[in-house]
Amino acid sequence: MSAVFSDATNPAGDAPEAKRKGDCVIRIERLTKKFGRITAVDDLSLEVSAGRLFGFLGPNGAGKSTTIGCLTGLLDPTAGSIRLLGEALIPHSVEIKRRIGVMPEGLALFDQLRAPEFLAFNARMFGLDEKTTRGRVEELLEAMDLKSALQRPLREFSAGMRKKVAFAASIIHHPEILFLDEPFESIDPSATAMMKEWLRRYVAQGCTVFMTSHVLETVERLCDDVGIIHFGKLAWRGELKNLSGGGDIECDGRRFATLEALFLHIAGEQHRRLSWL
Amino acid sequence: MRGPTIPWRMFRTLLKLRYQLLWAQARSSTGKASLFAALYIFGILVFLFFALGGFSAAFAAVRLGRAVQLARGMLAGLLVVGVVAGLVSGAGPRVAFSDIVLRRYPITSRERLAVRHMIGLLDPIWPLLLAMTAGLAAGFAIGNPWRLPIGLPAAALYVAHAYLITVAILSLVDRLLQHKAGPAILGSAVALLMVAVVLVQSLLLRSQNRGWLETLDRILRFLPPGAAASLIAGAKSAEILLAACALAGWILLPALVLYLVEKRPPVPVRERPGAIAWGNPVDKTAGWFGPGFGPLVAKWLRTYLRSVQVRFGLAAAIPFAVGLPWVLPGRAHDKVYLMTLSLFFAMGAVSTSYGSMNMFGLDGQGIRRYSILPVPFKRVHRAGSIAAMLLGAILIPPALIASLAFTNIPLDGRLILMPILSGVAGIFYFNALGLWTTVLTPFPVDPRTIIGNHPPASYVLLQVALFQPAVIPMLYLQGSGSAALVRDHWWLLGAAVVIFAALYAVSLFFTGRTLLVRRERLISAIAIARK
Repeated sequence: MSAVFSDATNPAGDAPEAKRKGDCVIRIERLTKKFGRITAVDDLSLEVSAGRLFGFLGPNGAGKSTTIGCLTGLLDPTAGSIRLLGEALIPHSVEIKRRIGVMPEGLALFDQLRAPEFLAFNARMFGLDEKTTRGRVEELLEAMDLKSALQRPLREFSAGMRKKVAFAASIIHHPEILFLDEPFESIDPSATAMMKEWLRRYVAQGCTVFMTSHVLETVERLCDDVGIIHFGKLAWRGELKNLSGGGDIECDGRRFATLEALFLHIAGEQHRRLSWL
Repeated sequence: MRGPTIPWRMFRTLLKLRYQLLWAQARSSTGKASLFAALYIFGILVFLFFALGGFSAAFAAVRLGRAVQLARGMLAGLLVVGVVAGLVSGAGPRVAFSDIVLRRYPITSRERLAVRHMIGLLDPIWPLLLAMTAGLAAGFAIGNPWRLPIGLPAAALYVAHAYLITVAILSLVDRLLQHKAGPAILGSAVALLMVAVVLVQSLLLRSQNRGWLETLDRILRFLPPGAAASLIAGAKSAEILLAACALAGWILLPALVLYLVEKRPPVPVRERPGAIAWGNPVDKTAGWFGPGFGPLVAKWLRTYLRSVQVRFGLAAAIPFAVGLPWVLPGRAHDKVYLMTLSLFFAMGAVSTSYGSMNMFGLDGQGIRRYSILPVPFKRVHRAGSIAAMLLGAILIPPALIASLAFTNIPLDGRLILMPILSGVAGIFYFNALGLWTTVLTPFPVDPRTIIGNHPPASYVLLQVALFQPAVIPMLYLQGSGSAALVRDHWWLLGAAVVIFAALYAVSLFFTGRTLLVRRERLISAIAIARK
């Protein structure tokens, strides 16, 4: 088992000062993001507590990645406010970024670098010392089964390998909040299982995960809370604990036995026939 | 053996798609500027062709009995323009649809080859070249209409040769760049080739030996422009027959090269298993800049050193800066020294300019990562500039030693110091400009290839405009200066270092502010264009 999220103290002294479970660590108030005339996120308000695995769902183009972009400093909000770990993102973005980890849409890898160089670069940028950096890079590459591709630039990696590298880069500094955009897409089942286990250990330590995914079964099994966004607005938010106990969840006065049923209710079922099929 | 059957419907569909893509590119704001510039230049060329060249020049040349020589010169010019434009734009079959793209469709490998090259030949540049060459052939047929049935097919064959040679060069360059030392070999080769061309020209201009010139004339007759000129403007049937054979050979040669290159599979990348190598020279060098800048400088050094454009520039810089002043015709030694000073000014910065003038272009999607790192964006920008300056500065000592080894003017401390000052001033000046072009005119670049990265017209225009203050004093010195004059005013170069260092510092400050405002635009210009 990898020691990336082990309980051992961090030799670089960068172990997160985890918030108490239940403290609000992500607070979005009336967030709006426009691209020209298009409103990608519309007056969105949301709170996420420490020690929770939050699934942020929505159909394609609903505004999930734009929301994560605003939360992580990739995009500047048009209106509204964001507080992470109790601090306003603007103007404290540099201090806050030190305490969060992000796996963004498109992964944002430097394709000319090799995996160890890329991971070491990220670790150093987040303030890890050289010794810790080397240890964690070696450990992550071993755990992610990437040691056979040390000499190859990232542009030659497969989609799954690239995703593993991006995930490793997002956790290498042991952040307090982890933002993951479609973390399991393209990754092989054994690595997916390992990553899920890491995330469970991570939230058990009081840290928080905010992730998007289109794989509803995974979200249902992994996440504590879910938010569903549709046309840039938050359409539903709630806990999933009832589902794991064989119960159901309520929305608009109706009860749903699965997350998929709820999602289809909100996003709309699409049953169209093709004339030639 | 049965030749390839052309899947005409697919060919028409792909050709239409190719032109739709070209049009879509032209509709973007930078595309519109490029289209405007291209049409403007094309308009001037057409005007010049009809006003000065083409019909009237051909007609006059025929009257004067210098038809073949004139046709040779004009055809050589057209060939150079066509090949250079083809190389810069990436030429047809590579840009339009690669073999891998066409493998998705139900056609054989031969059909793929035929479709690719047919679409490639119909890329705008080649019909344009054909129109100009055919116009030239028509001009030479005025008064001699029997030349037309030979001249027009010769024009078509000449354009086919230009196309094949362009595609063969592109394929060879691609293969060479797959090797680690490829960009360095290519850069040195191009620099040495340019020096060699200037040297030959210089020797010929100095030479009064008629025998040499006649031998050269005989050789030129059998080179592609000479052979095509004999077909278009020649009078003797034996001469025409020989020229036809020569031109056929010149078409077969690049076709054979292309066939051999395409037949040979690319060298697979071999994985070398082993432990991670920590603490290499890049990390050690970047370590001088402390924990805040060091990792960023290391990242940028790696980005530049793994970009084939920058490696090409670095490899070409020293042979070019040291060799060129010596081979220009009629240079006295002190003029050679002045030329060396000018080239030192450009050497250290121009060699890394592909990176330093458009830093984030090399990052592609990676540019988005800077926004999630806990550092201000301006620090990333500064680190990129520092890395480019470091690489440029490394060139100065070996170039200085090589230059001084060949000089025979009496050296004193000032004459040794001045190239260093010139090099440092150039690095500050051009990197100050690079800070601005990086922020104002970003465009995505494929760091694996030298050819086919299209900078927007605004970038090219900005570069040309910004280079002028550096180029004009150098040209003035070349015209009226002397080593003694410059040596007496050596401190001016010291002052230039101070002024350009100040310009660099001011640029750092103001581009940092501009970055804050333009960050999202910059990211979308690079990351979204490369998606």
